Amino acid sequence: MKHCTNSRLGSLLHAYELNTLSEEEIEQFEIHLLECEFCFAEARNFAAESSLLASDKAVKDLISGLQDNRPLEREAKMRFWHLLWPSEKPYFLRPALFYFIILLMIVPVFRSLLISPKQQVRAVQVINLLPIRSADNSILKQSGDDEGLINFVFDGAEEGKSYIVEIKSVEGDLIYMDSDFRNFDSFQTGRLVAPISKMKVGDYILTITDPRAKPPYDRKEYSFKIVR
Amino acid sequence: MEELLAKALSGDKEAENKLFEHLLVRFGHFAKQHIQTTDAEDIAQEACITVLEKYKNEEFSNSFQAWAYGVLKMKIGNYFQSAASRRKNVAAGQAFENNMADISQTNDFELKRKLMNCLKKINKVNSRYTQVLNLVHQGYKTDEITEMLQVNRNNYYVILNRGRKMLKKCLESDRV
Repeated sequence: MKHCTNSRLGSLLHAYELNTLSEEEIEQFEIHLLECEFCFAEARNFAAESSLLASDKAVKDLISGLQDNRPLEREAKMRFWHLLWPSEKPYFLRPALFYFIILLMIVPVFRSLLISPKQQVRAVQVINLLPIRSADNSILKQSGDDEGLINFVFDGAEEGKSYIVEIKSVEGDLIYMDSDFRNFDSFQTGRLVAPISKMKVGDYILTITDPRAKPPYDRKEYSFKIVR
Repeated sequence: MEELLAKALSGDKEAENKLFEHLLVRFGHFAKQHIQTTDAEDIAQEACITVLEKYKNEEFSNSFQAWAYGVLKMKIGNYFQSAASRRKNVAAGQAFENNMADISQTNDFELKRKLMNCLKKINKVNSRYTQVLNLVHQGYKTDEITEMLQVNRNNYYVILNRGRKMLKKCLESDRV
């Protein structure tokens, strides 16, 4: 027989084996065992284990020990959480918050480490511009995603002050403009990163204007060439 | 069983023998559950003989099973009532406990080791079962345990049977 003939009485099986049933329940269950092959086979085959569970001292001690350890485990967990989140302290002094902030700071560092060096470093060409009337044009060679660092000297330029920078094609089309250019160093040299990969091949004029100066000292022009 | 009884009542000797065997096995188990001494088998046998002697002339008010069980209960009651057996019980009480412990220490050592390992494993995944066992060992009644665990009686039996199932599986396959 694979199943119990009376599921209500069948549910009493283990309680019967552990001797926890009342006299009345024992009687009902034992009469059920006379009829139910399944329950009797279960009870009979598990008799040795049931006997150990119900009356063996070592087993009892073990079970008691398992229960004794439980509050200690819970206490240890509570202690751990209290260390991280001591409720009596103000929020900004709770270590968990501190660790969380540290984690927030560390994550971008790890993310940047995961980005390949190829993605981080881009090739930069450097040219030093000469005034427009000089014989040589500075040349930038267009290749891939390169950017060009353009250095130019503007007499009287002061570090940290605002200037206007424009790049125009020789035809007069405005390619780039920065009305708040402040990249001058103490040697009156300005530095501009130009997106040469996005610019067409040809001749360009870079104009730097000092809005505070009077003509003719307020502006200077430089020329450069982009070749393929 | 009903079929065996019907055949036995109609005079089938083979069916009567089978009925006797059927009852003897079960009565032996019940008697051990109640008496827990070597006298259990004798009492079971006595009860079976009484049943076989009387069942043909008896009118079962409830059922044959209930009547036969009543005979066994009476035999067990007589055993406890008789002064001789009580003396024997008292005198042998401690000896029996020790004897049982010795048996479990020698014969069932392997089973006990496995059982204890399984209980540890079960405790990690289902602490309710070991919690109930602990309360049972401490002598709490079912009603008290259900109140302490805040579960109803049916759920209490479910906890026990689920634990038993896990224990059985663990003993067979060493896994919970």
